[in-house]
Amino acid sequence: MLSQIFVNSIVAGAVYALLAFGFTITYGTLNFFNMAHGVAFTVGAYLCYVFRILLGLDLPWATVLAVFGTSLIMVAVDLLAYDRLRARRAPSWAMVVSSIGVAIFIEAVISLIFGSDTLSLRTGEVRPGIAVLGAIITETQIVILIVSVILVALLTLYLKMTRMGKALRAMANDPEIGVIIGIEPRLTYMTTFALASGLAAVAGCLVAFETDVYPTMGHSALLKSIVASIMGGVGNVGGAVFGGLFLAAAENFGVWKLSSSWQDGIALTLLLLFMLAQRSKSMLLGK
Amino acid sequence: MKLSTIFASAFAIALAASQASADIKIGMTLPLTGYAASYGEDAKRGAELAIDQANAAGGAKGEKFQLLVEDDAGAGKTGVAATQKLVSIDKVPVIIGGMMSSVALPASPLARSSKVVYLSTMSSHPELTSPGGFIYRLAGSDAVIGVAEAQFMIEVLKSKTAVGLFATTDYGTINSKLVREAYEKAGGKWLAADQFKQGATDFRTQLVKLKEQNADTLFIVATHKEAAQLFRQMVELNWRPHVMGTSFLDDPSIFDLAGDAANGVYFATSAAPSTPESKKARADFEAAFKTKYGKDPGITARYFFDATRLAIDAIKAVGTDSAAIDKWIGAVKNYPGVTSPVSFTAIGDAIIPATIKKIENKKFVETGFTRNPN
Repeated sequence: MLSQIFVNSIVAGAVYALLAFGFTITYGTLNFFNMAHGVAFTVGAYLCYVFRILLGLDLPWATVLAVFGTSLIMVAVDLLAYDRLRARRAPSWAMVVSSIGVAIFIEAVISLIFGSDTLSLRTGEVRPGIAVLGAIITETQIVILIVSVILVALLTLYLKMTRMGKALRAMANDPEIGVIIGIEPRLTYMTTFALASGLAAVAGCLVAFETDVYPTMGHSALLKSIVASIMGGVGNVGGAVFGGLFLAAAENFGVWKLSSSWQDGIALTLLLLFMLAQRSKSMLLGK
Repeated sequence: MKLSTIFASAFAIALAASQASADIKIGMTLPLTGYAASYGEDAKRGAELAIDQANAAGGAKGEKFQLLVEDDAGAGKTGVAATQKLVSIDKVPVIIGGMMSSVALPASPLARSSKVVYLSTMSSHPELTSPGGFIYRLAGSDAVIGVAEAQFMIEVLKSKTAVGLFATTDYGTINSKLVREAYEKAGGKWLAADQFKQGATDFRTQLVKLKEQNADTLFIVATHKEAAQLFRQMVELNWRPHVMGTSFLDDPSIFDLAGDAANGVYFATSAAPSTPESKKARADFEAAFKTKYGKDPGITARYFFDATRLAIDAIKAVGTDSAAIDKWIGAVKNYPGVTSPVSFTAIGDAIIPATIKKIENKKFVETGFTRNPN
């Protein structure tokens, strides 16, 4: 039973890590809490539904198109909603409020187009999972794990090695100096949005295959992104991955010993402890 | 005249016109957002069908009926605010609501204290109804349904041991408590229970915990959306006990959401219409619903259709005075509802037998097991 809970934690943690990774680079580079991050997850899942079920594409193609589609939409949102605020040097909270508006708007549009009903992406028959070391793992879960590990590794390399990756980190470090040394801020911001929402869309597609799609599915995704990012230290990419895994482990092992109704309580208690423990990077004390 | 003044006066005229044409208002609260939104949409279709049919037949003495729908999100706080608005701002004589006990429990006393009739549709919480009039429930009480569920588990499934898994809602808590009591009273052994938050999608850890108990039956209180995930995850974990659910599963969308994973699942729901009038009403309703919306109605559409039609017929008979409506509804005998014939007890509970159905290859199959109230 312990090994089963371990497997459940790792799989849930892989998805949280993808979400938190995107959330944290948005915070690092654009310096605001993107409350529309959960919506990118929902948009990704719905685009996957459109490409896979409505247009009948193969699974890998549907996912790739959904991810690029989500990135495009969210970059457009950036240009429409946040770019003007940045041009006016609006404070960070104005961006946060704007992103809440974006989240509500996009969710309403999804409800209008697809309705509030739950839609299912699964087409095949449900089969028993594979037994590994006393735990049962399904094929979808294995795919989730592999995709998450590869993506996190690739993105870490991208941030460390490429010119654009370095530019992103430079802007996160000090935007003014970044601009002085010749980094194009708009391009970096757009890249950040494309990356962050693309990652959320991957998570959305993976979850959509595992469970189902419905308009409010982004709510808990946003909550997990925030909690995992803060646990890892907001803006810290490695920390986000750790935060995601840690959060999932805490939730699943917590449920094992306590009643499941405590699941959110456990996550939020941990969050509080982490916020108290973190000093220099804590949002409470100012970055 | 300034442009804005013109707009303002045009708006005022339009508003006045719309109010003049809106005649008899019937209030309704439904979950249109949140975890139960898909039930709410189907329920709204049912209610709107009843309104359309009544208006096509000429309304009440030439006046049209209008449905004022508010979102209650399936949650107490939103439901109370929505009910409050219908009572004090719209001043409706009748409010139809209570798909969820979490809404019906706090909202119904509010309506009663303002002498507004509250027609609860599906809430089965035993504490909903009490002497004092104005509160009626169309669904059976859990005091009946819970017993039927437990007795079916013992008598038909020959269950010796059971575990429970339910949502942390008013409905989940009370229903599982009553089932557990009835199950233990009938000689079964209740080994363990666990909960989940409404709208959850990952039940694996709870399932692993419960699987360890090696019980022969699992009792669940989950919406069709939650149950679909739960059934699939049970297949994946290779755990196939008998499964008993509640009337939450009485909705054809479970077939597409859960697929074959739902095969063999039992659930309790209200028994099919027993009188000829009610049987005919059911057949007419199903045909009209399918023509209008292109799909089969679920249980929520049936209950909301019944409640709306009951309100319409009451207003047609006695007008919009809520005290008269209360009296009329309280006195109905075998009213031909599409769910089942409706008669109320002195405290406003519908007298509805409970039955157990089984999900088999994308169909609901009757087991023939029914229990009458008392």
